[in-house]
Amino acid sequence: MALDARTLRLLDTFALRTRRSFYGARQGTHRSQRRGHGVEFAEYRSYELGDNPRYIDWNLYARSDKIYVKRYLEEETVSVFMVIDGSRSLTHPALQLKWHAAANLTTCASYIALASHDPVTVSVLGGHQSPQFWGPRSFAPLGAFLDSEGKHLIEGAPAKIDIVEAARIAATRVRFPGICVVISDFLYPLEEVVTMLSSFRSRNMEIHAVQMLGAQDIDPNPASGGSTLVDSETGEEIGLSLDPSAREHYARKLKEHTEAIRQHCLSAQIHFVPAVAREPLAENSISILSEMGLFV
Amino acid sequence: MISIFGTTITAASPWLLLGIPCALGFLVYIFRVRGTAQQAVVSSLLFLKELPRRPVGRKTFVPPLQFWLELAILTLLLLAVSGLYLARSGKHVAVVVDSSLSMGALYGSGGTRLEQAKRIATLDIQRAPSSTTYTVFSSTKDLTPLSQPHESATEALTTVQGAQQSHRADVLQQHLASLVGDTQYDAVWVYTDRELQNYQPSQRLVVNQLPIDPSTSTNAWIQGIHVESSGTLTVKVGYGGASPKDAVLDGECFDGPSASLAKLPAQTLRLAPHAATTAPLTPSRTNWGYCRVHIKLQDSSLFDALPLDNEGWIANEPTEPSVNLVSSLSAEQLGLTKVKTITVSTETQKDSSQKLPTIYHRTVPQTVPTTSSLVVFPPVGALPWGGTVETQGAQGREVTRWDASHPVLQYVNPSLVTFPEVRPLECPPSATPILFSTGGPIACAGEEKGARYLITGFELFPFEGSRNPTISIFTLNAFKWLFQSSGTTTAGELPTRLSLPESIVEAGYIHPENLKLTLEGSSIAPPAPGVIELQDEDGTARYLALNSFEEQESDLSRRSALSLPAPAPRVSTTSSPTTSRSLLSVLSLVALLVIGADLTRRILRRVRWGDA
Repeated sequence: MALDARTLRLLDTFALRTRRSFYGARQGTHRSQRRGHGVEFAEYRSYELGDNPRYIDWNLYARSDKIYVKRYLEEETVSVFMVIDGSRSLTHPALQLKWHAAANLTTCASYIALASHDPVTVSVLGGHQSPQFWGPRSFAPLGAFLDSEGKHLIEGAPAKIDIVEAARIAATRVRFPGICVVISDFLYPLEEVVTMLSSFRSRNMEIHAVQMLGAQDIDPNPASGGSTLVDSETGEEIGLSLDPSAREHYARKLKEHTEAIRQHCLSAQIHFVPAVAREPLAENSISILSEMGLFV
Repeated sequence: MISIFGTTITAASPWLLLGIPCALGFLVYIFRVRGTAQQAVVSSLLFLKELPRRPVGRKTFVPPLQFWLELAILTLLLLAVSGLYLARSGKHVAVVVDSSLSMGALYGSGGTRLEQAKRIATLDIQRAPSSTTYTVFSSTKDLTPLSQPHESATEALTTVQGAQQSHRADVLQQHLASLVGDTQYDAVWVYTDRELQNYQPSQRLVVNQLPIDPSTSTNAWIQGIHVESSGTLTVKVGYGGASPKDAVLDGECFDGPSASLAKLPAQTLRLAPHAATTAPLTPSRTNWGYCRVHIKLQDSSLFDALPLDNEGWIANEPTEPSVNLVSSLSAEQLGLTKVKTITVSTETQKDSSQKLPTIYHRTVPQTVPTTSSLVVFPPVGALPWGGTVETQGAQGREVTRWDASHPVLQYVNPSLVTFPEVRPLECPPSATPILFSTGGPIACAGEEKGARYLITGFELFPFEGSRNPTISIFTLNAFKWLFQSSGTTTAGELPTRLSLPESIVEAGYIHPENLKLTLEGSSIAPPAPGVIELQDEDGTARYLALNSFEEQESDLSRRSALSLPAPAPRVSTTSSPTTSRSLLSVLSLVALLVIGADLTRRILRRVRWGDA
């Protein structure tokens, strides 16, 4: 998944921003929950045996005759966990634009994270989980991983995926809580969506849910006169005549479903971002990144 | 059963035709419900399933071309499975008129038996329903159809009236069973003068036997003519009657078609019933070309019922008899082309109906031959007329004694010959050994069933002429004794086809009346006894005498019995399909099942039309 030079220049202007602080694995640029030896003062603490005398505040000792040590906020990296729905609703050959949009968004977000030396892990639900990528030089392997997964899922034999179970397994592999970006069309029953998101939330992560819909998901308007509609996930078929009233009915149902997910995310402190997969992918990804508020 | 423009169409299983409207409905259903829709993949049917369900394309159904093609295929297959066929409304009758020699016998004051048979057949045809169709057969050499199948009554009447008198024996016994068993005929009507055996009247086989008055069955006929070496004609006369009668045998000889005749001195014969009488007739001239002999009963109170067989013909013109060769070698390799006294043909070229004298070279006939036969150097241990015997031990090659009086050994001194290889023979009981070696007889000659034969235990071929004079003279004597002993007359039955030398360019009857014959290749089809003049390429004329000596037909007092086949169960083409039709139905059923399975597969797997 290569990005052109113009997109990379645009992405260089972005930086990863977290709302919360996390424990990081390495020294980084994000405020950590760990107290240590940063530059930003955090608090005073009574001196205890073993503390380094360098951090004793001698002025305060002169005023109060008590020995205190100064504590500073540690700055560490933040783990970025990108989760892409690899089910057939995104990877079916007829719907693969959604996958490409999701993969492109993942690439862009990862580029920003890797540029600030934050570790990135990509997990494809129904596919594989990548190793943890560190540093800007890992950008190319990450792109290759996404290309490989895309090819495998789009061109491979279709398989039924239990999205809830796949999400649960992916969440168990998180080593350091951090930012989790879940990209899916969320066209599942609401209970399954809630369960899927809860799997990541239970790992104490800052979750951003991106609903990547296709144009045909928003307005299913195939051939005039009628169509046999095939479910990309199950292969189930129904014959329907999608006249304007039926399409209006469908749009209302989709809106209700999206709103229900939004309400859940709001209550669960999950940042929900609706998005539509469209060309050109890079511009579409930057637009979504801007909307997510995660990258500034 | 449907009638369209006079043609009746019916089906063996008409209820299967109900499948046609069913097939139409079935196709309409699957084309409307499944066939015309376009497939579209959607991410999920989560919300779409909640929409009100309405089958697509209900209002805009326009049958595509494939719909009509599949409907046509299903309809045709169902028609085939139902056994649809064109039905005839009437029966199909095979009319067999016996036109053999005996049917030429006078029948009271009403002409001949054949004409009486035609009258009865005409009445039968006129009485039958007008929808009946006919195929008319004549019982001559083969059961020959005289008409096209399914003739109308009017056409059949014309055909029956046109049936020609034959000079041959009938073949009813051989062919009637197969005709009765043929399912294309609903009935077989036979008109004959033969005695019937095992006849059980049925609708399937109706035999009209002409009632014969025994007092009108007296007949005298020429049974054979032979030329003695002295030039005397030996005539064999047969007689069928109640008591011995006197008859006059006379005749005349001719030099050529336009030359004056020379009457043969008439002789009065005392004919005994059912016994052959032989009488000599001596021509006044020795250089006659051909002769006619005639027998006539003297008793004025009797009449000869069958005048057709009162004449006999014999030609004196030497001709080359046709001889059949059974050998792994050709006539050229055997040197037989150098022999001017015979014409050799191979077995494969022989007309099966023609019984030619035969040369068996290094092989033996498996049955007793009915024509003159020369068996040359049979295989070791092979018996004449089939069978084997253990191989003899030492085989003497020296000729020890011989029967010098036998015509085959005329002018031959066997003591001068040393054969390279000799096989002693097991001579048949009817044979006389004429040549002996130290190992036993090496040549046997005999006569059986009226045919001469000669077996040699040594090789005669290749024929080398003057280079090997003793063997050559022996061979030529053998040919003369075997193949030319009966003069130039073809004895026995009248051949349907006669092979002639290739040098013959024209042939035609000159007696009893002039009739030009058509040469088909190098053969002719002689229709009646008589004398045929053969014109050679160089303009020379030769004569060929043909007779029809059929004792079975001529002896009217002893009617030959006709054993009739048991009446087969009535099988009508109007009520049941033939075997081929049944096979067609089975094949159509298989094709129908395959198409049905394919349509079902399309429905179950939701295959779009045109994607399969």
